[in-house]
Amino acid sequence: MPQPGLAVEANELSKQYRNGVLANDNLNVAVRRGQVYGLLGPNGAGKSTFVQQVMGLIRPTSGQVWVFGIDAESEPERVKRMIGYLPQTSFAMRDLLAEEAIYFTGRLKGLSHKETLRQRDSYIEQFEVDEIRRKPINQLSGGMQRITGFIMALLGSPPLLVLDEPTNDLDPLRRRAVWEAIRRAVVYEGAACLLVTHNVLEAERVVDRVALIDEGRVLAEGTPGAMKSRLGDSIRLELWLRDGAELSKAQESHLHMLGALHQPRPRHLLLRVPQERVGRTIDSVLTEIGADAVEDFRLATASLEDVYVELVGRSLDESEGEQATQPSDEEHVGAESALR
Amino acid sequence: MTSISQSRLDAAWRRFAHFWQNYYHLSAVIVLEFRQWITMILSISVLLNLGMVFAFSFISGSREPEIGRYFVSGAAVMSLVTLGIMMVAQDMAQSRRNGAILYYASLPISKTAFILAVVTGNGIAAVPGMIITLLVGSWYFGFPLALNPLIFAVVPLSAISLAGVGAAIGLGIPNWRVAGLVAQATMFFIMFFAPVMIPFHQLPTVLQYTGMILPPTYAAQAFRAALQPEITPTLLRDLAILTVFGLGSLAIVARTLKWRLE
Repeated sequence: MPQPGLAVEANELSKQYRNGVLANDNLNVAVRRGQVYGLLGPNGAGKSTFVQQVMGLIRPTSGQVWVFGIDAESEPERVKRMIGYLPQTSFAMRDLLAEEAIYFTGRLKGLSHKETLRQRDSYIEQFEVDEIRRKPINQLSGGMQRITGFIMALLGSPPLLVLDEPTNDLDPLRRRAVWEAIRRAVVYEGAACLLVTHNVLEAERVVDRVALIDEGRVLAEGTPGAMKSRLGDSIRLELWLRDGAELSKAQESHLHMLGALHQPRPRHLLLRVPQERVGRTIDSVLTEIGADAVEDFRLATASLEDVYVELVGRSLDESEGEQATQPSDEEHVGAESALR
Repeated sequence: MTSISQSRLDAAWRRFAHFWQNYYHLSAVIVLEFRQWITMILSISVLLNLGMVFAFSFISGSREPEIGRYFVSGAAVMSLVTLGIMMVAQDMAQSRRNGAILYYASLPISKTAFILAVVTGNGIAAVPGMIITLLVGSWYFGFPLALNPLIFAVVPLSAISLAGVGAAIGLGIPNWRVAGLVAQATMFFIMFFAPVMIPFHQLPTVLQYTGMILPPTYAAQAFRAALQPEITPTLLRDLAILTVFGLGSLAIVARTLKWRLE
């Protein structure tokens, strides 16, 4: 039986496809109202399958999933009425003007004509994207398509938002606006949000709980603070080397001796060291590779990404590019000044 | 007892209202999606239709009004075939591939309303091409145009029967490229081996039999009859057959279109 008060509850949920692939394996997840719940994991970890099971689009092989106490497998139509969904890539109505697509989505969700227009205009104003109104979706930039899809998901203030990579392709200001809108829906409207993302650093700022998923299983689950405490009191030193600067084998092995070294890209180094050795480590690094070779550096306590790397065994950077770990402009300026 | 009946009636009314809202808005979406391409679709469909009419007229070596009426009405039905079978098949296969069907499935909408809306949208897009073909054809061959009111039943029923075939191809064949090829092959077969452009008695016996089980045969017959003012028993029979085909193809598509991913 489902537990009262939960927005999403998955109980020993498994899915094996006809080709034998085990997409998820005995998943147990509980998302409460007023909570942003992050699902983190590499490609093919089983996140999308889980999301589609929540929406009643994929039948579980075993186990159950309930949305506000309703069985998603047997009553998908009722469940869909409670969900605002932003798919990862495309959605329908791509030849329509953005304002038309938003309007028809609202009407198909059951909103009245007047209410749809009110919400549409209010969100367009809130995200400052008036320019999308009269453009066909297929002619919008990736970021504007994302915002359009996000507005479509928010229409009708659904009690559960299921968002797959909501900030992909967005500029920093609009990314912030999206996170604020999610927070508002969760805090003021009491909605729940199931958030699928690769952008671990950004997610860390908004999620209340997080599940790290790999190969269809939950590797770890909890609040970001509890997850990070798994790594003890270590500090992460991040370094970006200048163009043309490269580590020699000897320098690399020296850095390995200072702490856990990870190198997502040739000129980007992550070094995790115990708190008490931070000062000495910085001195050693600058002596070893030379201050001139360092373009920028940053010190941070252990992040969710570190937990992710520790548990999943590889960095998101390798698969997902720069965005996840590159600090914001503000952080760069701070680190640059500190270096001088 | 009365309150139970009343609540059932209310529930049925709510279901119908929900279905109608879905159908109306989805049809509007599909029609508006044609807007960007309507000039191109209309031009190509008219050129294709008139090209067919003139080509068959050259081959037959005749400009007789009765023969012209046969070719023109056949070409107008081919408009419905092009949009109903080929474009619906391509649309469905592409929507499945690019995730549009998944998006619709994530919304609380009726699957049947979605299918009917696709048929309606494609049927509406075929109408201007049919009208232009009829007008130009009647002027060229010199036959009078007299529309029977049942034409308003013939066109939608034909569209549903044909689009059902298109949707079944687009949804039933796993690969979108293969689905496109099958749709084109079906078009080719209908044009040259079914009694749409070619009179029934001129086809070999085997094709006469296969023609009897194909919806375009009855769509063409009914369309031809609806260009005469009289309501004939044959027209009513063809309409009844088209209704059966329409309902059958809707049922098949409703089964083929999965609102789930498995």
